[in-house]
Amino acid sequence: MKKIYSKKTKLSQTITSIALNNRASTVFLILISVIFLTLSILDPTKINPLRSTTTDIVSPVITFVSRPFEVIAQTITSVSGIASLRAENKSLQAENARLREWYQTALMLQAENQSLHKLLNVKIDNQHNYFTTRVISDVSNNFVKTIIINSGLSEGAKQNQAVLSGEGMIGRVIEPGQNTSRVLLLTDINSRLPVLIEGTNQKAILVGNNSDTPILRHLAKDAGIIAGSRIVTSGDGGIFPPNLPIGTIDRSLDGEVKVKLHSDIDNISFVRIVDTSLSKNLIRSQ
Amino acid sequence: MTSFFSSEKLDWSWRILLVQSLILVLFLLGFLNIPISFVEFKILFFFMALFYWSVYRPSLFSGIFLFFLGFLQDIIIGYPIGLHAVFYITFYFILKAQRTFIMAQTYFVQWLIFSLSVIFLLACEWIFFSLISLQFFGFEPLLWSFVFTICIYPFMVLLFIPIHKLLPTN
Repeated sequence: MKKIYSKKTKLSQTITSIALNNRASTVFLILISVIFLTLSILDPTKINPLRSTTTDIVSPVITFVSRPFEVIAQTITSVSGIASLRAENKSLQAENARLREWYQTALMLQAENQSLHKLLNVKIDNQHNYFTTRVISDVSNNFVKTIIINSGLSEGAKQNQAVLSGEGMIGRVIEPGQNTSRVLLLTDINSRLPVLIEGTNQKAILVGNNSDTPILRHLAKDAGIIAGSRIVTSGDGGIFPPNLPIGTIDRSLDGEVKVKLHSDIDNISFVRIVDTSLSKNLIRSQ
Repeated sequence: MTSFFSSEKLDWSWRILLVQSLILVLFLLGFLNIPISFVEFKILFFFMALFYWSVYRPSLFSGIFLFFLGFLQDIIIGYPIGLHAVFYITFYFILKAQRTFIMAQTYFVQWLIFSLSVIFLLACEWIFFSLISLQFFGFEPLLWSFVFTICIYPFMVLLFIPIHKLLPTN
């Protein structure tokens, strides 16, 4: 009887010690997490190297896992697209004919523009090179809007380079890793971009709000905004080149001017990065 | 050495590895770029696994494993690092402590508890991000996340149950 009792006591002691150790390890892990959390809130740049290195390592796995889903999605899209192929072909032929006319007009205007520039001795902005890369993963969620692209420092990606889809600007490089980079989308709540409203010469700041339609801030009261006006980068600050297409003014509600982006940010497979160097007059933050 | 590689142990190891792989796949599903989405939100696949296995087989997880996954998620998504490690470890230990109570409930009540846990997790995220960015985030994507997560959970349970039966009782 005594033996059984002592065995039971031993067992309960062991269980208690394991439980206590478990509790201690939990508290310890939570404490470490809170320390990291505080550090990454107070100074996110300290954590960036760790973040970009880990993303470099993990992104091939994400690409591998996402491949079957991409194939399924492409198959569904192509099967559903067959039905509308004929109608689409017809409309594309019409659009092509119209664009040919515009192409001739554009060539004529370009020649005229060049001769006028020469005549006025205007200092022409540097031409920018682009390089194209694939979107590895759309890691956007309810609170953060970012994507990961398959180019890093080794391919020439640098911080604050503008990122464009086929239709227009979608964001900027914020964390260039060795082989991959993180792009902050224009829709993210932390995104701020100096823009220009074509036609009116009004400048404003495009502010992300985590929805598909970012808003314009710091507009003049008598700006005379018209729905459908084109928005382009203003080039103010010297970080982004001017005149990159962004979107059009969608509507003005409750004093907020919403912008409809040219690009469908949720469905981007390839992006172009504007290979531009920062102005020499800009001082890099430490 | 021979006992470690005994056929029975190896068999159990394969089965446990199957569950761990499923958990990892659900974790990775959260990062996919699926171009047929019509609304931008994420379904909390990993949280479904965390809830189910914390209640029915907590030994599959450990604090360090969840710490590592939470850490990895924050790094990849771009959240402040450590946020999800705190959430996952806390949820795991609360669920583990209450598992006998939860297991004694009917399936409907368990589903309600899961729904409340999802609301609590999303609310914590919302409060945290609103505080650090000093502005309120919209509720619409959170609502979609909540609705889809709780609607898909019963189907995920249908997947978890046969896998659960494969596992050893101890």
